Amino acid sequence: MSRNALLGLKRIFFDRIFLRSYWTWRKHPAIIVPSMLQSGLSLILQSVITLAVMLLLISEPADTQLARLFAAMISSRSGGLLGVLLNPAFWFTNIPLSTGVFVALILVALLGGGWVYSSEYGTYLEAWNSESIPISAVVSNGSRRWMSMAWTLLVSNLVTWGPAAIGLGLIAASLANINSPAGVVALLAASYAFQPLFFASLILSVFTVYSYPAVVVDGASGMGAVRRSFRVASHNLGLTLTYSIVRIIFQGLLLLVTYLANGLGVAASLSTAFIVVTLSFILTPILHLTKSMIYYHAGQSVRETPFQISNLIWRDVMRRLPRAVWLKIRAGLGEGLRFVVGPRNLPFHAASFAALAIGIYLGYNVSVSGVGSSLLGLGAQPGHGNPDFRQFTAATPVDGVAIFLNNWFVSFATAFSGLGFAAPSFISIMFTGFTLGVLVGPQLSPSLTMFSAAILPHGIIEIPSFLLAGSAGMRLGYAALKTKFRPGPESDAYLSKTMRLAVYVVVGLAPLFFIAGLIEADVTPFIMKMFGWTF
Amino acid sequence: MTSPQLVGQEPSLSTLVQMRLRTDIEIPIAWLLLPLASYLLWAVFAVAWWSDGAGLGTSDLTLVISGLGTLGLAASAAGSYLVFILVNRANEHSSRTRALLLSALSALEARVGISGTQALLPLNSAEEGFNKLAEVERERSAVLWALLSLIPFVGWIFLAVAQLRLSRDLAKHNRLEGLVFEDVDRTLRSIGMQGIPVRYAPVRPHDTLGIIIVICSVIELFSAFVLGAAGALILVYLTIGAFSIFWIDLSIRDPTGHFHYHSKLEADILRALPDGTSTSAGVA
Repeated sequence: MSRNALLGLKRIFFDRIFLRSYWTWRKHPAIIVPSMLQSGLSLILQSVITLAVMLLLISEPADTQLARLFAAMISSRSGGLLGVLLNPAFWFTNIPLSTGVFVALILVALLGGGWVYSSEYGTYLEAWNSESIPISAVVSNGSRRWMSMAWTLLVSNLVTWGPAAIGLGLIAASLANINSPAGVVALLAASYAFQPLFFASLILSVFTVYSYPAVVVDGASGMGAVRRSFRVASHNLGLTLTYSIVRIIFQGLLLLVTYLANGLGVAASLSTAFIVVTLSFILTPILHLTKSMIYYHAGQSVRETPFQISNLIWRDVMRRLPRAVWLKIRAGLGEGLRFVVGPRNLPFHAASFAALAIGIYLGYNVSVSGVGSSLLGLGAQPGHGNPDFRQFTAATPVDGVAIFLNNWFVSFATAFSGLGFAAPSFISIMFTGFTLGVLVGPQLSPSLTMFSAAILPHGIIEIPSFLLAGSAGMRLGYAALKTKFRPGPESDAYLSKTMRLAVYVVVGLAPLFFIAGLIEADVTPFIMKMFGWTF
Repeated sequence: MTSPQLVGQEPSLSTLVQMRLRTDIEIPIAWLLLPLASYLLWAVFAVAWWSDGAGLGTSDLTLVISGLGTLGLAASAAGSYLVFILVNRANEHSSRTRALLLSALSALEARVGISGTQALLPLNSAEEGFNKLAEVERERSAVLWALLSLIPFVGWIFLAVAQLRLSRDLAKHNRLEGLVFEDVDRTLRSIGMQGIPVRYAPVRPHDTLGIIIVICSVIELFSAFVLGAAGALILVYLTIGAFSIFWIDLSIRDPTGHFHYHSKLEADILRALPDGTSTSAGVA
């Protein structure tokens, strides 16, 4: 006789699900691939902006506002997107282009987000109940429910953040008449209204937390998924709050680590790389898996999670995980080497190299046509290094690690953004070349020797590594195009194979980026000084 | 890689008894050094920050203070691991006990079916007691409480609350499982078998300690008139931290007697109800 039937009790235990999520993450490394795709999606969004800025600079190289915009973009290595969007220079220089960019951004965010979330949550569900997960599962899950997920993404965000957006809209509207007394009163009223509206959004975010799992677990869509999320969250409020608090604390602790690291002299822009990588590859998959499985176990047909003694995560993290990571990196190095020398990959390498060369050419032309002068007018000093580099000494190798994490993460994004039919990878590499081209211009570089002293020590490893990531992205784009225009099992298999290859290639790039990062932090500044640079 | 069995199987009575060695663990008292180190480092951090003239709400940290904060965070992480172990131990013990009782009740049900109806009354009472135990006992999330106690300064309040809940839960668990064990003993005797040695040794919760902490903290808050807000808050932190460390010591030691009692009792249950007689059990 089943005692639980006698009791009529079914409990969902947060710890049991959380711990099993960790072990699922360990057992199926494939579940971090959707997180990599997420970074690829961010790069696709960025590439829409970078392409627009490059086009604007090519058409108006003497525009000082655009030069300011470009300077802001290259000084912020990872978070420049929002700054560019909020910059009036971007808005008013070319209104049709900036409108087009915004429409493209929203479409890419929704459709790409739908595909990536569908892939992510579908893979979690499969990983929870399976012994092994092939990379092809990531692709098949993405293709299966991407439209429902995109629709849910839109509806869920409208429901959750709608009140806060209304509050912000009221503030923005009242700012238009700020010069009149009535405008000041309106601004005050809007500010007071914003607080409860924002608080309402925060409360709603707790209840809509299961919207995406609802799409893959129950096949719901849009408002249906949001409704199911509300129901599960309200029936399991303690559990949902536990999940939300755990998530907030993890993120808060990461911010605290960054804050303290900044106090110890680690540059802020670099320590955020640590947060991004930790969140993307470790915390987000485990927490999203936990969330999905809370929703899954809340279902009527799913039995209570059985009692089992938990194996200590800590021991695994300390003893087995580093070795497992190293084995993956070693396998990646082998795959990467085969990818480099494989004759069939030559066109992709050539495309990646061409993107860099075109970027350098365009950047150089733009630099001599006016951008160089504009940057000088904005305070750029030839022969004077980035002030951030002042902090770089041999005593702070942690900066090298942060550079490594940042560059490695960008290489993931560059490779996986190739899924957008290769264009984002191409644009990303081209923008790197464009930046180099602008900086090598005669007005900004006192001499080619000094420029080489600043770029080559680490760039000799870093730039080919980026090119390789871009090359993997080109192949991924080719595979995606093949699947689109010649659908069939052969194309699907090629896409899955290429995605697996891309994962291994970028994982295998880790040691190269690590060495390049250490050189950039600890060796390049010394060499720059030897060749006449000042800081 | 050693991950838990992903396909859950109903463990037998003997398996559950053997699991005792992994759930009812004794935590070495030396582990108390972990929260102690965290307490001292954050205390030095707070005093250094205060005496540095930075005061509350200032983000301008010096190198030394940032170093102290980083060390404090590392020590807090180690201390919160102890909290995780304490809460997880309580969860695993109560889960195993529920599974064990469930299995024992199933085995008894099969026996009573053979022996007659005179044992039905204590068996029903045992089932009722078990229902209440399963209904009332709640697993606290060890992950959540460990993370909450990891928050600098404020975490000590959560740590004290975690200890309060642990001590209350242990007292409740001890009382409710005692009632079920008594009924199991009566059922065994009524079907002519040797009973199990049930003793009632109440475990008292440490509510008084919680009340003392609250009273002391409230009184110390009034010292803000003399020491200023930052000084009073540091004093409150020192008090809550000191009491919490004492409380962790109690939480480490408290269940030891209960676990020893279980080791004796479970051996007797297994002797009385060997695995061959047990039927399939549900999940606790």
